[in-house]
Amino acid sequence: MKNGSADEHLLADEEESNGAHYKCFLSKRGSKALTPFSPYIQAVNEAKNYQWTPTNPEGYFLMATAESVLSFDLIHDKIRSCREVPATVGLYGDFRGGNRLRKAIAKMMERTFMGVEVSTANVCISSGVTAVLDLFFFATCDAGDGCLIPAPYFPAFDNDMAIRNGVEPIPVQPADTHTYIPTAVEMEEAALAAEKKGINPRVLLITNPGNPLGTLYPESTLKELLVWAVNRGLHVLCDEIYANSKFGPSANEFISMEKVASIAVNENLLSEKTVAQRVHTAYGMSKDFGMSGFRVGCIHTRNKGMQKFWQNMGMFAAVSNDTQHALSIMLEDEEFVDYYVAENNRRLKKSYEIFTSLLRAENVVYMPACAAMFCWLDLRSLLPEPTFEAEDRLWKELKDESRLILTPGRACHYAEPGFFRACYASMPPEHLTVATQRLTAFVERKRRKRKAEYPISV
Amino acid sequence: MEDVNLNSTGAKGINQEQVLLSVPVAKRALAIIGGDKSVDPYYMGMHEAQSNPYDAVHNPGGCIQLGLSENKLSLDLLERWFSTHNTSPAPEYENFLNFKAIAGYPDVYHGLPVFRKLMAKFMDDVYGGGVTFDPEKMIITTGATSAIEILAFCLADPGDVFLVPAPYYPGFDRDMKFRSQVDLVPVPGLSENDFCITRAGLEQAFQESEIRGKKVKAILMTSPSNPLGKTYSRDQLLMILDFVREKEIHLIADEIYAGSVFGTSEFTSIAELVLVPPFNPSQVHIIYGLSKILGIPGFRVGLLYSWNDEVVNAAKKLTRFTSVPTLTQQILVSLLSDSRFLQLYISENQKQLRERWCLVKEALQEAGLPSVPCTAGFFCWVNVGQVVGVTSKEQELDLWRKLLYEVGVNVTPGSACQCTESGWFRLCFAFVDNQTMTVALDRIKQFVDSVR
Repeated sequence: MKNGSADEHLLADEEESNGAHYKCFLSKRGSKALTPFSPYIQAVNEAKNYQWTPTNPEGYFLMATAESVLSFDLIHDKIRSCREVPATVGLYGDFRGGNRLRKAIAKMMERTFMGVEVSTANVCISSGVTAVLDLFFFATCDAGDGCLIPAPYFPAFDNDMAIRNGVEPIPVQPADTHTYIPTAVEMEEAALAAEKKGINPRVLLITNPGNPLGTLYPESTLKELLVWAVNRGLHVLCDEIYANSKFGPSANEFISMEKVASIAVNENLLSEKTVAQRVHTAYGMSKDFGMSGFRVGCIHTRNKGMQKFWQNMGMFAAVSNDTQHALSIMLEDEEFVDYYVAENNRRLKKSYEIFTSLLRAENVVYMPACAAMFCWLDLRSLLPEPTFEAEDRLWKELKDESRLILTPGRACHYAEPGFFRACYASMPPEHLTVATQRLTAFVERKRRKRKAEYPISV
Repeated sequence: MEDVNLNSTGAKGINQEQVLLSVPVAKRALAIIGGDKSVDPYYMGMHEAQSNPYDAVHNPGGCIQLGLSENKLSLDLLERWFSTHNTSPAPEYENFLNFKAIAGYPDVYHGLPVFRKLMAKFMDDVYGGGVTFDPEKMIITTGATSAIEILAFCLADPGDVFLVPAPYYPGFDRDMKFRSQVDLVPVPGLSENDFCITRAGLEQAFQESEIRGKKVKAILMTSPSNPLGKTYSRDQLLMILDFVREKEIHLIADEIYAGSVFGTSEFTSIAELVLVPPFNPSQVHIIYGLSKILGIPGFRVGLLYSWNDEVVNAAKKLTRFTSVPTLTQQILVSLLSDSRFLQLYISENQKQLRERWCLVKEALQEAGLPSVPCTAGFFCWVNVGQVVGVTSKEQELDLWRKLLYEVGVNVTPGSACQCTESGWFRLCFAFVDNQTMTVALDRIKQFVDSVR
């Protein structure tokens, strides 16, 4: 039997010479999935293999993916001790996730951030929060329905809800451009506007702690949005994937949507029944624990229909038993979890302070953050004109001149050009210092240039 | 079931207040949640086998599970391997698989390069050297089910049709219809022809779909066949390839039981034939996985293999949702690197399957139950209905219920596999141990004797 590739090549030549064409196209939805990545994601993928190190000074500082390397060592050691492969590993499991891991995650969420009792029965596990969202949107929306999302937001949400499920993201710009805190008024306006366009909003998606801002929603806002959304007949999905990444004095202000919902019920703002039907929380191991390669996410829902849906659909996005097993052991070690979260928060805080103290010294404007792993930078003053084309050019200059790759604000669906998200946890603190110095040097150069070009405006 | 699966529109007899209060789950999800499971043979059978499981000592009258296509015959070999081997990365894979590399986002959601390389080599070995697999054409997913769903998405739009030689694997209905909403049209094989499909049969099914205004996008087949337990001949495969070429549609060959061929018939992979003109390989896609050959469905490792670059690229995007954990990939790299063990395991497993099949064949012959000669997989296709004169689907289901609740064996009725002839059943024989299998076969024989 000849080597396959030689024959293939032969066929291709024949195709060309005969002018034959094969009509085996992809489906329409398959073709749509071929849409190329936006340039910034492409740059990220290329830069991954060419990162800055002291011995590779031409390399890139990748600050555009929400990934933390700060506490790998802690997890490494722990997982090494959990890695047995048990006898039951071979067999099919429950497609909502094995009971042991569901229980371990439920207990962990209850203990560390949800603030309410979390029952194992209400937790379903899938291969990453991405998969959780994919299933969630299929369950709650028909194709063409919409999902309201306070902007700016995590760029990949669009892909997660649209590619397989045909759900339209509806970004909602904040009226308050200082705090970015949304209100029900903007939500309602956005919902009405969507309906006018024939898009039926079905879900409100909130990320708390927030991405890209790294801030916390106040309790009053969560309650306001929750009550508004539920009364309007929407599902509320709160992505709390950064709930255990908090630092700084305002970290204590975090409150889970589950807790807010129970408060709303106690205050007779919503009924227990409707809250059970419509309030859902997502969590996962990729951010707080840095285990994105493990592909473990979960949904917390009391909606029996959703649980049944997960039981039937779970097999399309299940987590391997051996991984579930290792994770269960790790999470059952409460002492380890507490130690890890505290230490990780300490390291995040340290990197955040390295980053922002250098920014402050150069008067680079940023939004103070107290959670997650990134910072929202205001570089509007560097734009020659307030357009996204100018923002694109600035993004490219940062990449080409300073080898810094940030996430442009446009990718986060923020309406005003000139903002960037920078992840400060994606490299060790020593590298971060270099990266931030590059950033401030860049800003300084640009300012001098602008001053020279536009002596009046600055 | 509570109010959560009320439909917002079109649901009769629901008063307005209820509609306002209840939040409908999407219409398309209702089919997945709803449906009366109490009449679905698959669920009823599973329920009975799980809630009333046979145990020689504690529940000798319980239900014996012959409805799960899982192979536990050689699991002990694998268990022993895991308990005696260190699954940390070997030095040559340290760069790819050290923890720092594996804990972060995988560079590729569709399988780490070293994992795909080893999977390709593994498949080369399993397929007996007739094919060389290219890791770059391989997309690894969380189980073959996910791979099939991804293919359905890439090749068909909702409402399009796949032609499926019948009887077929009951799970296809779920895999295709739940989310991908692809219509499956059975192409019946008949007992007089050993259930082989014909060109005429394919043509008829194709024309009927066209008349109904449906677009046929692919043929979907399991080769070796589930539930028939036999391999397709080279000629049959060429016939199918030619049909696919003529109609300019795709072919999805689920070859997940390759490697579990234990009989004397030869297994020919579609991969061996597709690269020869006039066939166009970009029309052909293979589904594979580790669940069957290694008996580790719990690892959730499946793959799609395609010569079509566009399919590969589109599928890559979708593996965001169905990516195998890097920890699991790392463990499996250790396993897949031990090719000596794997060869031993596969041949030992084939031997076990052969021996088990002999046991079953003898019993079936003694009981006078016709069956399709079994040469692959974990199941056989048996005509139990003949002894009680089954001539309809209802009678077949009556018999199935009797077998489940009175005789105490959970088998899969042919109607669940879209078989057009009533009375055939799929009997899985690799899940239970020898003693239990013997008890099950005795029960069946006794039943047959009692009704003759």
